[in-house]
Amino acid sequence: MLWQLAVRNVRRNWSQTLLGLIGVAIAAGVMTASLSLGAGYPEVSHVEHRSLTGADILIYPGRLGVGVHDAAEGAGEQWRWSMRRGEVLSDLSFFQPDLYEDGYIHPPDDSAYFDAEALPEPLLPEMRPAEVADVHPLLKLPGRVVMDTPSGTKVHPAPLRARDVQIDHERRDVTPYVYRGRWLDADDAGEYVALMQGPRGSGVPAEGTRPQYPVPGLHDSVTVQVPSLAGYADGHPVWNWDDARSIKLQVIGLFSFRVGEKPYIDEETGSYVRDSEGKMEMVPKYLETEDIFIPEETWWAIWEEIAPEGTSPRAYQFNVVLHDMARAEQVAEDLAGGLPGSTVRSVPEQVMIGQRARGQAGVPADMSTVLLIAMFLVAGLLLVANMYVLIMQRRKEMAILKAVGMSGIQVMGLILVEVLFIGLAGALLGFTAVRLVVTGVLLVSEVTAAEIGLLTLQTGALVVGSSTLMAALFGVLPAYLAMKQTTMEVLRDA
Amino acid sequence: MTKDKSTDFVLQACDVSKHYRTTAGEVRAVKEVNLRIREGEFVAIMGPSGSGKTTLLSMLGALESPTEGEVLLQGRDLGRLRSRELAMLRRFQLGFIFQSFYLVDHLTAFENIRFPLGFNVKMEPGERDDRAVRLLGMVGLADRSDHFPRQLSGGEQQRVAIARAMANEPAVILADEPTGNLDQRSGNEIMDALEDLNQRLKQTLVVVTHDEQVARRARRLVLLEDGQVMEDRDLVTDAADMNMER
Repeated sequence: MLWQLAVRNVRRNWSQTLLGLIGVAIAAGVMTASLSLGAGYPEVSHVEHRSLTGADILIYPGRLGVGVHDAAEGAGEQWRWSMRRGEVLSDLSFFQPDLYEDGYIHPPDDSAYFDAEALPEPLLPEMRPAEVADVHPLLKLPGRVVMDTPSGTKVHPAPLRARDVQIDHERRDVTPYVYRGRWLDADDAGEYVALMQGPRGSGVPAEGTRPQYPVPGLHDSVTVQVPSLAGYADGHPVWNWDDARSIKLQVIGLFSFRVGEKPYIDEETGSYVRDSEGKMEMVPKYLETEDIFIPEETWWAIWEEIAPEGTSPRAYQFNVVLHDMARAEQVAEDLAGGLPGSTVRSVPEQVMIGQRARGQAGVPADMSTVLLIAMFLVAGLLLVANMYVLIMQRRKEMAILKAVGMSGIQVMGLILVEVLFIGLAGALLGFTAVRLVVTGVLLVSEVTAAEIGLLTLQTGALVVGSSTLMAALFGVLPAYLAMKQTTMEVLRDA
Repeated sequence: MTKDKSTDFVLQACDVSKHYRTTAGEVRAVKEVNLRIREGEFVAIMGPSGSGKTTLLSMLGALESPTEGEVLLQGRDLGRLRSRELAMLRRFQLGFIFQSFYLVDHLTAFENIRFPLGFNVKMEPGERDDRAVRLLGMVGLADRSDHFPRQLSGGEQQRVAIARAMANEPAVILADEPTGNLDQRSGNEIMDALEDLNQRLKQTLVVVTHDEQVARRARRLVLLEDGQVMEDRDLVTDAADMNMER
């Protein structure tokens, strides 16, 4: 009886129902989108890290990624992690800034590296998940930049890192990170060119001081010392700095993490100066390592020069670049399953680990939660306002129902059923609309129908459940007001 | 007046008063009213506008609680009952008929009558439907079953309201100006129907009216003025006396 009456009321008061329904549908739609994106990989998420790493998923041999604070010095077998001496061959530090301080991390269990020229089995082209487009080893060589400055010759570590120029241009928009000169392009393949970045840290440079790193326009070239490879011991390379090669690279550009905060350098004096308004701009925040990007082909040419003939380089990181960002977390999970003992992390996951280590909250995740809560609040208030207006309009009806025997609780129940109906219908509407679009994207991304079905069911249950619960919670107030109305007072007014 | 907890009186008001607070001050709508109504009685409460008729009726029908005094329905003090118990009373012991009919607009005539029957869990759904149909027939609206209130005349709406009040065979039917919104003919028809209920089914009736013609149909007349009972007269005895005098 209650249900029948409630449904009839919902249909009868169509305009109010529609308003409430739209509110809930929007909230449910936002939640669906948020959950669906969470299942995949937001395109804009951690775009800087993805661009500069050149990867969506990172694979490390063994179990890396333990923060320095977790490892006690000298306890068990540990790797010494020393950034400043340029011994780091992994991009891990990009995402775990704690590691740029000297410290220790746990060593890998058994295999300390991958053979850079032979992909591990799960990464072979015929066995890769359909979504994985490219897998390539992170190729790095230790290096030292030698610079003549007015205060003498400065030497600072700057590993040489190979960039896949094609991926950089096709899959990434790297141009925003170049603030002087240009990024590497296809014509640079095999050429001795370098994309430099400045020293770590940020802040206002002192007026009149000179940058301690090569700047295109001021320095046409940079000399980098690269040690020769003496061999491998315990799986690790043994570098011979006594037999280092001096490699001259043409500086074609500077890159930084942040855009828009370019240090103003006077071209003639080569020093930091104030601009016409007397402002001293901030030095951009640089990556935590002082990598020099060179084309992959050039890297191989240098390798041939410094390594014994026939030696294969060892990779301490594989980068996976996805064709499509959807379901990246799932792909990372699949890869982890196929590479037992290795660490497989998506870039956002790795960034979050780094942020957490610094006590920072993941801003995008927080914003998404805040947005979601705000949407639910708006939808809930819309529902309350609608139901309140509706109850005021239906005071006479409530009074009649009470006069013929309905109890206050039953009147409250009637309103709650109506609110629940609106909540349920709105949630289904919002979920279906947004999920249809998402499903389209997932289908294009070659995710299996079974997986889409399962995800749809999971997301649907969560969205519809929480939206309906929200409606019920917000419906309690108007329902209580309806319950409290006194029959005779209402009938007198009517 | 002392209260009588026996069931000789189906409805009793013992020193009942009702005060309201308004912006203009306190209004004493009903003042120390005493009233005892036996089962099967047809009582008319008459009085000018503002005399407290409707307020008294609403207290007798557990729609409002008195400020002072007690109302007893079949010996049970309504003031001591919880809201759920009061709702039960309104379902099964009391039937209401209002001047403005107060049917649920979006329910058909049949559904309006069927609605209170829905509370009667002792009845099967089919029985409830049958009873609603019988009641519609009893008030002469068998052919208007699927009509919504807006499709019915005032008299027809009031007849639906009577059938609805009768649905769960209440101990007392309380009617507030049942003919107030009707023309003379429809008013007479409604009163015929109520009189018939009282005489044929021994249904206890309390009718509030300011219409003498309506009041004259009752067997007992309570005259209310300024919230107080001015007169409580047995019209049957009066009529017999008048006949004797003739």
